Amino acid sequence: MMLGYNRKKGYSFSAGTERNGLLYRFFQTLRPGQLFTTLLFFLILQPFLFATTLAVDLQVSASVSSNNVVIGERFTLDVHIQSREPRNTGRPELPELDGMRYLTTVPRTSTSYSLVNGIAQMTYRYSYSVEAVDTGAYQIPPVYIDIDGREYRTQPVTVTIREADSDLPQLPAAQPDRQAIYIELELNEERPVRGQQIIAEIVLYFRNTIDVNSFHVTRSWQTEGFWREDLNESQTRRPESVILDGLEYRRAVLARYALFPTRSGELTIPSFSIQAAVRQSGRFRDQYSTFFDGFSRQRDVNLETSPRTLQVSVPPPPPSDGQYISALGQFTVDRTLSQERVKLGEAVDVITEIKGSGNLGLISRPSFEYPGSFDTHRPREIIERDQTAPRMSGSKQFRDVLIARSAGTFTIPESTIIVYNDALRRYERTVLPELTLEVVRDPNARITLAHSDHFRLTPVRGSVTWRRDAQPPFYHMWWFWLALAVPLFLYIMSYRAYRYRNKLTGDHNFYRYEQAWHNASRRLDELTSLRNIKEVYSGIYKSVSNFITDRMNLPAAGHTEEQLVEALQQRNVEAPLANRTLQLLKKCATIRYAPDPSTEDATRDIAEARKIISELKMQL
Amino acid sequence: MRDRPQLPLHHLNLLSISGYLLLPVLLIAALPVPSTADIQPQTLFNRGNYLMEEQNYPEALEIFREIESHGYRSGPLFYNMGISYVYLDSLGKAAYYFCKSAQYRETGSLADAGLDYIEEQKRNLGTFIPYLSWYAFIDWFLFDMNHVKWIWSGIILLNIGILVLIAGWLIRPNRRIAGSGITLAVTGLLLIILTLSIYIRAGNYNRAVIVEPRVYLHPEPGYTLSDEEMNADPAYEAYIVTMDIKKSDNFSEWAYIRLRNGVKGWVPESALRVL
Repeated sequence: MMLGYNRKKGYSFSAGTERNGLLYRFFQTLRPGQLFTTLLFFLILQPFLFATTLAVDLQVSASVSSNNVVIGERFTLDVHIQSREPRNTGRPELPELDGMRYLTTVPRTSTSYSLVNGIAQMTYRYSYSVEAVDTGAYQIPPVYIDIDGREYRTQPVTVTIREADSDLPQLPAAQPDRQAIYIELELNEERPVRGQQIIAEIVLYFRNTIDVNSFHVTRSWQTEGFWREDLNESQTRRPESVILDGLEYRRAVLARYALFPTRSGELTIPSFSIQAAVRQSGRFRDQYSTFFDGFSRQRDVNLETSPRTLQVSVPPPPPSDGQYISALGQFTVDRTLSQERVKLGEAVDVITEIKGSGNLGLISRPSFEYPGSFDTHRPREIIERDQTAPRMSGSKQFRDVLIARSAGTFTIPESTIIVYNDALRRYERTVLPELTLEVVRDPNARITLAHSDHFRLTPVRGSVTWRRDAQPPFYHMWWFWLALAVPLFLYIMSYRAYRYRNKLTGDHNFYRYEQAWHNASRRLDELTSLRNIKEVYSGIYKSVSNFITDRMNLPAAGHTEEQLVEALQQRNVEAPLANRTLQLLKKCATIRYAPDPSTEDATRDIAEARKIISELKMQL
Repeated sequence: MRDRPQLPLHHLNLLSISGYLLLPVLLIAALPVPSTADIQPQTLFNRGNYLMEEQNYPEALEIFREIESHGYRSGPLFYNMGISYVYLDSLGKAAYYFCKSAQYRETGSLADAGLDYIEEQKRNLGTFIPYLSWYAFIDWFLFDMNHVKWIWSGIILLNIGILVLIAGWLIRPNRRIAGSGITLAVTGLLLIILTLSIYIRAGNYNRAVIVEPRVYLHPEPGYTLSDEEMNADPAYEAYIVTMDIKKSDNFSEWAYIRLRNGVKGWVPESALRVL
């Protein structure tokens, strides 16, 4: 869009990027004969077309610091040049003024650079000080300025000049003991419903005798119970003169916020506090003066708004004949398709756009019924806020991504969306008409992204378990060999036990041999409880002789002591052991003829018998 | 002779305490430090998924391949690569990644559905060949039977058999119980031996996927085909074939394959992706 004016060539216009697409299609329709004439025509027009492109990115404007001034008051005339790229700008040509005069014709200049929504913007500013001379409504004529060799002009600006203390806007007298400087929280809505947008302005009032040089917020503003959006990038209003309680004040908006109550009931907006650097131009002292101010009249003052309590009500229940998307404000709802004809497997976006002013960030996604032959991908949300608007406004887009899985013509059915209009305090319905989408096959595709009930071409999302090291083969695992070795070991051990058990039961001699030690020991144990010494020696004899016959597989009875010892010697039993055995056996055999054998001897001989049996066990 | 100065006891304790304190520090220092060139696979995976949603499949695949090149593997990664290749009209690579994804429990059923879908596409393209039951049977033994699971079953059977045998011999001597134990143990042992034999045999074969639109089977590596021979047995993209590793190892750029209808022959190795 063209916002400037070229004095030599008059108004110009542009069709933007669309022009290139239209030209291309236009050339495609021409026959070769017509092409030359057409190209010649476009060559002649080319400078004009190029000029329009230049103008698209350029904006020239003028403004004043106050449109309503008193005689003798000084104000500023600003000339702004906004461009997306650096420009060569000349100094503005200042027009003649009626009722006003320039204090200086040398401007204060400044250049700023900003990036809004990804678009770079350069702003050049020329500021001139102007003094009001005569009463009446006057117009500052257009200011001409040369940019990149072309001339542009601003719109005229109207300024009203009046006598001092004449008809100024009268604000209601809210504070009887009004101070020379104070701040107030001004709300546009006192009884909101939950979720409704409230514009909260922090406004500074100060007398004409005070200059406010700067200020800063001293405490963070915690608006509990409210979702807050900063509107400070919106165009700030210039200080204006107002009459309060018959006194002239200057009024300046310091900050602007959109507040959205998130719950109903009584909610309190806390105080907002600033520290301002002020300068007193009069001679008198006020309540902020101190002894130490001295001759310097600049000082810091702390200012604070009063806390405000609001009664937030619940919006009425939404009607059931539509889909309520939690939208409160003044909105329009629209639904479109990104394209109405797609190839099989291509994506198409169903774009639902909610435009207007209100709780944009809290609006929930409307859900629509889609034909079953579409894969739905994760929907996207795009909020585009109008940063310069004095309210929370802009658009919110919900893009449902559909991928066609079968060819044909499909219909997305009509749907009704319900929005609460906070200005009219009622619900409004928007009927979104049905959408028709045509899906065609791509003749060049080898793969047909056809409809399949079993398979959806949708990626797996979310957290994934990752593996890095290659799994070693199972025979490299210790558990594999252990699992094989354990049964083998068990089998060998149990087989041996099984064989031993079978031999014990089936082989009498082996049984005697194996049980000899056990039987002899048991017998000797029993002897300790006997009182009759002769029976004890008889038992010792039996134990030793039976042990020898069992171990050597000899008949159990019918052997003399010498025969037993001889048998031992034949089995290479050591001679001392054989002699000890013979001595013990002989002692046992002859003790019955002894007059009175002692108990101590018997105990000693039992021990000797145990020792002999143990030693014989090792050698037999 | 002067005595050597003795460190007081508390001094020694301090030294040993500082030694104990230093030890964990040294141990931590000795731990392998993650390489700075390492990547965050989940972050890249999410990025790849986002690009898929944006229909930007080539870039999504770039990212997935980067994850793969760092040695990270997962079923969803291979499955999403398969999906991307479907959208890029590359059936062979799609089949390859679906096959890889099918080996993971979390995406097994999804990947099988993807492979069914590719079979369906092959029917539409007229390149479908039947899977002869004999070769399906053989391939099941070679690739699908899960050898480890079967060996585990054999080991469990063997152990149970031995325990039953011990019971029949020693705890409650009974010929029948012992006989059952021997039967179980022998069955388990046979199962282990049989599965191990198959496993060793399967080591000679690999599954592979044809990734070129059409490739001819040669009777010998490097053999020049006549026009008649060319029309005989082509292998088409997305065919899942059995490759003889032993035979193929003898020729650096050729692979000996068997199609699932039993046709065998040599193809250039570049036409294949080995699973």
